Amino acid sequence: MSRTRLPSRFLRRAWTAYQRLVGWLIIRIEATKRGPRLIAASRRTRSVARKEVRQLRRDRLTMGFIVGVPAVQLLLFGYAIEQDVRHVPSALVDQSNTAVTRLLAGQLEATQTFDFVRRPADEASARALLERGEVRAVVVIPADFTRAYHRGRGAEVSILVDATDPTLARAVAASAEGLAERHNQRLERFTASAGEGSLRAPPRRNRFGVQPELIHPQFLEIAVLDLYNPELRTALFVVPALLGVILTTTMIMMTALALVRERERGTFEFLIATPVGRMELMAGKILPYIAIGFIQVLIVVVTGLVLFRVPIEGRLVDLAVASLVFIAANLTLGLVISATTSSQFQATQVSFFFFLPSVLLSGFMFPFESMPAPARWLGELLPLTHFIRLSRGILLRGSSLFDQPIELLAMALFTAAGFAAAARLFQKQLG
Amino acid sequence: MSNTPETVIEARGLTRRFGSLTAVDDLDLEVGRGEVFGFLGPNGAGKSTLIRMLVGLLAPTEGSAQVLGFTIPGQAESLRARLGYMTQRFSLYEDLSVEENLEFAAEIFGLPRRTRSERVERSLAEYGLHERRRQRPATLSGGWKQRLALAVATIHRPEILFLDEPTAGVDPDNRRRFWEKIFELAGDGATVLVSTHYMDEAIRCHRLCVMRQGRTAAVGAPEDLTRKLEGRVVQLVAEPVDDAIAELRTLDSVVSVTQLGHMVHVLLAPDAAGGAEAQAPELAARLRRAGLACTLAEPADPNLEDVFVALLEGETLGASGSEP
Repeated sequence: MSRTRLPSRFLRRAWTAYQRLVGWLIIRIEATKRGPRLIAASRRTRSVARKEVRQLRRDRLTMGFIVGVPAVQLLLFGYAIEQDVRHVPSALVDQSNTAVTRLLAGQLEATQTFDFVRRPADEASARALLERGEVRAVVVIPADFTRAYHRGRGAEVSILVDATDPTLARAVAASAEGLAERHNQRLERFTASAGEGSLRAPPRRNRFGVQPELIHPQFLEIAVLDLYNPELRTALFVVPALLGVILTTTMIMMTALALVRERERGTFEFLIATPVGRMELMAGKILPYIAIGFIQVLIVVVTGLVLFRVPIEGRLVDLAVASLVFIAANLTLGLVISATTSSQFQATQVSFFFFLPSVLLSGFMFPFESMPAPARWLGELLPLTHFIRLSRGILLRGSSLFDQPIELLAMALFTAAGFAAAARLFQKQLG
Repeated sequence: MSNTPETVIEARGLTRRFGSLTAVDDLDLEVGRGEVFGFLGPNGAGKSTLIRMLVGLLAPTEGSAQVLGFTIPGQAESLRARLGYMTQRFSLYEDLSVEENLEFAAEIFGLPRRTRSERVERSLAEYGLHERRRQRPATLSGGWKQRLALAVATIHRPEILFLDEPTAGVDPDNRRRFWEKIFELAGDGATVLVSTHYMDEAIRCHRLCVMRQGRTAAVGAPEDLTRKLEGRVVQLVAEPVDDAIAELRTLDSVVSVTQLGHMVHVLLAPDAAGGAEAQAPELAARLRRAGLACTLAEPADPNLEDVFVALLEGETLGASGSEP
C-alpha cells in the first residue's frame, strides 16, 4: 500500500507545486503592462489547442495514422527492404585444396553471405555459371594460395561478383573484407612481435603475416568499410533517416489539413469571427502536433532500438532538440500550405509535391554525396536533409548538436521563414 | 423607429466586388441601438456579403463602415468580443458535443473562468438544449442546430448580433420560437441584424432594407414601405382563375398578379389612371369582356410581397414618407 502511495503522493505534491508556480507566474505577468493581453492570448491559444486535441482523439483514422505510419514505415524499411544480403548462391574454385583453404571456405560460408552450391574445377567453368545466373558470386582460391599464406606474402583470393545488383556486390565485398580483417587480427595476436611489413598494403591491416589482399574482389569497386556500421547493416543507416521522413510526412500533412479542414467544413467562418488572434490560432493549431511529433519520435527510436538494435550513441536531449526544431520546421510549412489552399484535397496534393523531393533529395534514398550539384543545392533547402545529418550523427556516431551547428541553424532558419510566410499569408478574412 | 437613440452601424458607399461581379454596390446604411433590422432580398442580392463586411470578415473594395464607432475592417479585431455572428451555413464543430461547442465559444470569447460554466448552463437551459448537451450537432435536426448556433453566437452577450438567414430550412414552429428569442435579445438591449427571404419574418423587423443586386432598393419600417403602395392593389374573385390571371397579366396597367386562395391579388402600375378605386371596376369589366365571371373587384391593402415585387420591377417607391 504505502509503496504505491508514495509516488502518487509525490506526484500530487509536484502537481500542486507546479500549479502554484503557474498561478504565481500568471499574477506576475498580469501585473505588467502588456500582461493581461498576453494572458488572454495564451488562454485562447490553449482553448484552440484543447479543442484540436478533442477533435483528434475522436478521429480514429488520424490517431491510427499517428501510431501506424511510424510503425508500418519502420517495419517496411527495416525488414522488408532490409538490404542485408545473405545466402548468395556461389561457386567455389579451390585450386589449392589444402586444410588452410578448406578452413577459409568454411569461414566464408559461416558469414552466411556465401552458399557454395557449386564447386567447379576451374575458373572458366565458374564464369560460365556466373553468366548463366546459376551463381551470383565466384570465389577463386589460386593454386599457390597455401604457399603464399605460409610465407606471409599476400595470399590472394579473388571474388567475382555479379555486380548487376550493386547492393549485392557491395554486401559481398563487405562481408569478405570483414572476414579478411578478422582473420588478420587473429593472426596479429598470435605473432605479436613478428612484424615484417608488406610494401603494398595500407597500414590499417598490414603489419603481419596474412596480407590485406587476401580477398581481392573484382568486377566491382571495393566498398569502403564504414567505421560506424561495420556490418553495413541497412537498418542502422535507415532508421535515423526514417525518423525524419516519418515526421515530414505526418507533420506537414496534419497541419496542412488542420486549417484547411476548418475552411472546408465552414467552421473557419465561426472561428475568425471570434476574438482569437491569427498567431494564437496558428499556435494553438500547431501545439498538439508538436506533442504528436514527439510521440512519433519515441515510437521510432524505441522500435529501432528493440527491433533493429539501432544504438543511441548520443544524448537524448540533443535528439529531442533537433526533433523539436525539425518538427517546427515541418509544421510551419504545413501552415503555409494550409494558408494557401482552399480544400483538403488541394492541401494533400501540395503536401505530396513536397514529400517527393524530400524523400529523394535529402540523402534518405540516395547518398547525398553522389547526387549532382543542382540536386544537392535543392537538397540543402529541405529541412529533412539537415535533420537526417543530425539524427545519424546523434544516434550512430554519438555526436552532439554543437558538432553540427549549421544543420540546426538551417532548420531554425527554415522555421522562421516558414512562420513569417504563414503569418503573412494567413489572414482572418474570407475570400 | 425613426427617433433612433444612437447609431451603432453606419456605412457609406460600401462596395464589394468579386472579380467582375459587384456583390454589394455603393450601399449606405444606418442602424440604431436596439433595433431589429432586416435585410430582405432574393438570393445573390448581396445580403451575406454585406453582413460579412460589417462583421469584418471581408474587406470592402470601396467605401467604409463604422461599427460601434470602430472602423471596419481595420479595427474589427477590437470589436470581436462585442459582436455575435451566426453564419448562414452551420459553422460549429460537428465532432464536438453541444456542450463542448458552447464551452469552446465561451473560452475563446474570453469569459472569465468563474462565469463560464454558469453561462454555458444558462445557455443550455435558455435554448432547451439541456437534454441534448452530450449530443453531436451532426445528430441534431435543422431547428435544433439553429438553436445551438444562436446559443453559441450569444454566449458572450454581444451588443450587436448578425444573423445570416438564420431560419432557412426551419419549420414554422421553430421559426416562430427563434423569432421570439430574437425579440428577447433585442429587449435586453442587443441590436439584431437579420437577413431573410421570408416575408412573414421581414414584416416583424423594426426596420427593413430591401436589397436588389447589391443595392438598397428601399429602407424603412415594413408598414411605411407597404403604405407607399396604398391605392395600388386590387383584389378580385373571378372564374376560371387561370384564364383571369392570364388575361390580367397582358395589361400594361398591371405589375403583378398573385393568386391567394380564392382571391386574385393585383398590383397596379404606378401610372395606372385613378388608382385602385378607379381600376377595380375597370379590371372587372375587362374580365367580363373576355367572357369570364367576375364576382368581386375591390381595392385592397398592399402587403410586403407587393413591396418586394414592385422593387424587383425596378420601382424606387418615391422618397416620400418616413425615411429615418
